[in-house]
This record gives sequence, C-alpha cells and structure tokens, in this order.
Amino acid sequence: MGANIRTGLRAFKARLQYGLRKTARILHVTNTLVMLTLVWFLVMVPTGLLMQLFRQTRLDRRGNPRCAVNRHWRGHPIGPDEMKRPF
Amino acid sequence: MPPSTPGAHLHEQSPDDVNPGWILGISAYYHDSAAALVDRHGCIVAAAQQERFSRRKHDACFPAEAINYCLAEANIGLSAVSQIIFYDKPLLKFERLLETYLAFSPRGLRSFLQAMPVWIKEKLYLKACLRKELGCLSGIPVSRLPPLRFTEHHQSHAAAAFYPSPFQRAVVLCVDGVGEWATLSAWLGNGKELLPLWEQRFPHSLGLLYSAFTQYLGFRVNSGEYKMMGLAPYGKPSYADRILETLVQLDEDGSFRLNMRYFDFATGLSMTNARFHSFFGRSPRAPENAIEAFHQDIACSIQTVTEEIMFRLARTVSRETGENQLCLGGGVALNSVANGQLLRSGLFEHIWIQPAAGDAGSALGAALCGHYQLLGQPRTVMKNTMHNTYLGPACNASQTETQFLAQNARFQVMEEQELIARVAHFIAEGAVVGWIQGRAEFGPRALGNRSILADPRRADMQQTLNSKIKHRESFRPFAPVVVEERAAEIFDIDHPSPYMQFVVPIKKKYIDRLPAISHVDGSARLQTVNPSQNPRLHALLLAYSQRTGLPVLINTSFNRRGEPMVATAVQAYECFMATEMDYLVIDNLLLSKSDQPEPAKGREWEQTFEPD
Repeated sequence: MGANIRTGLRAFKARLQYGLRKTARILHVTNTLVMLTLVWFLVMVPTGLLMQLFRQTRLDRRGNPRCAVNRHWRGHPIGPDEMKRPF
Repeated sequence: MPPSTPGAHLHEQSPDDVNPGWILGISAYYHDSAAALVDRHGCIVAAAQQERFSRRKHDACFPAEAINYCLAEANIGLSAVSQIIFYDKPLLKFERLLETYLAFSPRGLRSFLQAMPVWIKEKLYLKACLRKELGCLSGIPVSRLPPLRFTEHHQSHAAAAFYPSPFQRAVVLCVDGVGEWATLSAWLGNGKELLPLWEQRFPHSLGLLYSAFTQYLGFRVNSGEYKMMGLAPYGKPSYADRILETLVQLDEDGSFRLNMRYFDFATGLSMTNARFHSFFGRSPRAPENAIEAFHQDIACSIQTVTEEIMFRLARTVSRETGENQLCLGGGVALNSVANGQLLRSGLFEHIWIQPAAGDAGSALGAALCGHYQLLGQPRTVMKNTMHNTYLGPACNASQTETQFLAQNARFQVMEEQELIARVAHFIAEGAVVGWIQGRAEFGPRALGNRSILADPRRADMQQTLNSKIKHRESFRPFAPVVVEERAAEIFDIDHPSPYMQFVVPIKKKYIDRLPAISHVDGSARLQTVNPSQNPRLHALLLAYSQRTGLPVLINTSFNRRGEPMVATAVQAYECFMATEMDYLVIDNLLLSKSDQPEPAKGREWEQTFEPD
C-alpha cells in the first residue's frame, strides 16, 4: 500500500515536472519567479476565488466567524503511527 | 479506524523500532534551532540551542553543532541513537500555507513569491534534507541512519511542558505563534499519556497578535516581544478596550478570533497593515526612534489583553478538566507578567512552565514524545527532570586555564570560599561581575551559570548595566535572584520560582532598598535559588547578605545586545573585554579587568552583532 502510494507520487511528480518544463519551453520562461507568478495567476487566484465563492476555505478572509465555535475538539490520543510521517 | 494508544501499538512494531535507546530531538528551520538527547530511561542528558555555538541569535539553521554537542555529552555516536524526532510536520505546514493563499487570493503574490522557492527547493523535502544533513554530520550512509519521525508542533510543546514537570496529572496549555494549524492547544497529561483536548487554529493566534504589536512598536518579531513586555508597565491600558472591540473578538472561554482586516501576516510581508496603523492614528515606530507615551500605552494595552486571554483560557481548562495543576508551553508562556497573574489568580494550586518554552524547547519535547508516546516507555515523575536547565556545554577549568594562558589573560586560581567572599565584597562595592560555572543553561534565561551579577541596592545600576555592559534600551528592567528561603519575605510569592518565569510584586518596604531590580510598577521577574539547585550561587547570595543584609542580586544573561548568551570561557572573556564589566569569574578563576592587557579586539562587537 505504502509502496504503491510512493510509486504514484513519484509518477505524479515526474509528470508535473514534465508539464512545467514543457509549459516553460512554450512560454520561453525559465525563471522560477516568472513561473511562480504564472502559477499564482493561472492556478492559485482562480482556485482561491472559486473556493471563496463556495465558502470552501477553512480561513475566513474577512475575519468574520464562519461558525460560533473557535475551539476545535480533538479528544483522541496521537498514536505512534501519526509520528511516522511528516503530515 | 480510531488511532491506537501508544502502548497498544508497540506490539505491531519491529524489534528495532521499540528499542528504547537514545532519542534525539531536533527543532530547526524556523527560529531557535536546537537539539536534545534523552536516554533509554527518559532522562534528559543534554540540550542546547544552535545559537550558542553559531553565535547568531535565534539561529534557524540545521543544529549540527548542537547535535554534535549532545552526542559528545553522552559519549555516543549517531548510530547509537534509536530514533530521531523532528519537532513539527512540514507538509501540514505547507498545507496551511497553500490554504491561506487560496483563502486570501488574489492578495498575497509577493509573499507567495518569497515563500514558495524555499518550499519547492528545500522544505517540501525536509525529511530527505534532514537525513542528508544527519548523514554528513555522522558519516553514516543515509540508508543506515536511525528512523526519523515527526511530531506535531504543539505536541512537542505539550510534551516539553508536561513530561519534565513534577506532576503525575496536569492540564497542559500551549500558546504560541503558529505551528502547523494550531495556535493554542489544551492537553490532558496523565502519566505517560498526553491527550489533546482542543485547539484554536491559524490565523487566530495570541502569539502572532503579540508579535504584530511588537513590530508596530519598532521591535523585532520573535525577538523583541520581551522588550514590549518590559515597556508595558510604563504605560496605561488606554487602548485595551478598543483592541477588544475591534481587533480581537474574545469569547468567555478565552478563545478568540482576530479581525484579519487589520493584520497582514497571513499573506503579507509585514504583521500589520495600513488599516491597523490608521486605527491607532500613528504609523509604526521606526527601530531606535524615541519611545513616547503612546508606545508605552500600546504596549500596556496589548499586555493587558494578553493577560485577560491567558486568564480566561486557564479558567476554561480548569473548569473543563477539574485539574489543579497546570503546565504551560509555547512561546507565549515566556510572558512572565501573564504567568505571574495566573499564579496569583489561584486558579491552580501549582503551575509548572517549561523553562525553554519557545521552539528551542520543542526539540526536547520531540525527544520526550519519542520516548513516551512512540516507544510507550513508563514515566517516573521526578522533581528535577530538567536538571535546573543546566543541560548545555560545560566550562572545563583546566581547559579554560590553557586557553587563557594562550590569550595572555591574567587570572588568579582561588579556593571556592575565598573566591565567594571576595566576589560578594566586589559586588557590594558596586562592581559588575561576570559569573560562569558548570554547564550552560538551556533556554532564554541565565540562571546563575552564564550570568552577569551586580548590586541591586544602587539606583544607578540599571542605567550602568544597560548602557555600559549590555548596550541596550534604557527602559529595560533587570531581574533579581534571591535565596529561596527568604523570597517570601522580600517578594509577594509563596512558591519557588527557579526558572525566572514569574513577575511578582516586591514588598513595599523593599522597593526603595532594591531600586535596580524594582520595575516602574514595583514588580520584578524573580529567580529563587536553593543550595541543591545551585550551591555556589546560593553561597554567594548568603555571603553578599552577610555584608548588606539582603540576599538578592541582579542576575542578567551574560551577553551583549544582539549576542547569544556566552557558552564557552573564550566567548565570556571576549564579552568581558568588550564591555565595562569589572570582574570575571570562571569556576575558580578570577579575572580583574584592571589586570588585563589592552583588549586586542577593542569595540569590534559593534560590528559583530546586529542589534536585536
């Protein structure tokens, strides 16, 4: 299971890098900052605005409470398995 | 499937995984990098901040030298370590970062462009980066390194606050800037178990709120917060109501929401925005500009708000759990004024605060999490698990002599009793003495092993220390150290305070007798000392008391402005020569400034250390 996920992630990373390289070639850009600016305007802003429109973000941009409860209850122990991964 | 309990999971692990050997905790890449080493019985063997070795204050680099020191202290190599635990979860942090940008888009481009390259190149591959660094450090092939684990940021804080405490059961409150998502969290500690109860999440953070005001007042974020705390008693809380009406929506239970229209830290390069500045009618104070009554009032107001939030949070966890013992962790737990208020509130019978409550202490928390939660080892409650925080590198007397001879330093080797009597005499005569002994402290406070000591009876001593020795702002107060047995006679406190974590009132009849440690409101951040904790310092206080009738000294950290606390004898000598300190004591060596050759380095320190 873990090995499959790792293989999948590696394949996804390779595809993403290939896609980014190809986009960079097409747009004649190699500079990281230019690439990130494109990512910002082409991916982050539209996605963010859609998420805000459908109120799918966890953060309330204007600081207005989305819900009355500020505290998020957990109440279960953190198991050793959870310490084995960086997420 | 619900997560298993720590003990239950042990049976599913391979024998290598459950070997309760040495555990190395690491905190790095944000601020205050540190390393800590815990042995197979859960005893803390060593802990040190990287800044003490690199000489860069709040150093965030990989703590290679701190790790080397910890391993050397235990006389082991990295191969003998069974687990390495990192203090937070980088991918969860990245998730928070991305979600923040999405929630606030289209704002945040500049911050995105600044943050992302670091994440793409380094932080997303933190596990690989850490393993590579550890491999380089130890010479062990990466594939054969001990397993690397990750705790949540607040889990590390909670572990650092609870496991070294002298409590079998306690409620744990962690309050800081931000880790992954949590900004404050409540935990229930029972034996080796640490149960997360609830948390409040980014961007609603008390640490970030305090830092926002710190920056507004012209001090550095993650460094100048204690200056703002020291400035607060000069002002009036005239803006506290306005802050609570507009900037912070505070609930009865102590949880709160920030009005993000006034803050820029989520997606900007600064903590506050133009709306915040116009709300208070003033632009931010430029660093080193004059401090006016307005700045004092702002500092006092946000301190009042912080104390109110901390009080309500403590009241809530007290009501919800019924516990009468509290542990505090996270950077906000270094707010000793709020801690003093909590102590006097009587909400809890006992309060224990991790002396290295900030991110440096998280290295220790991570290692303890590994021992108790990952490996499920039994916990024995002890009174002094922290070894009085003397967990850092030691000054070796014979090595020091050799180093001093090489530097042409002139010193006398003395018997301990004679040395203590002479130092007490020097201090009573108004001299400023650098005092180095044994192992260095872990955490931000000098507790008598890397200290500068002076006479608290002299009204001009605060100015002298601030301007001639520490080279820092004149308003900043100095803390006292007092023998534990007479603390209640001079200060309004009925608990020991060995780690200088509580600001308490000075009793009225002593305020005039101790002007150099009396803050403007008649309070002081107190350290109490008993003979088992630090016998030499205790003896010095008694010797001073025999001459003056007061067993109290000024105790401030051995460093200059912007410099990390000294760790070695050579660093101490350099600091001694660069300032107007009169005497330096290193174990049983006594150095007098008047005997020393002309300092070779002159006032080079001004270029060496950036003001904090």
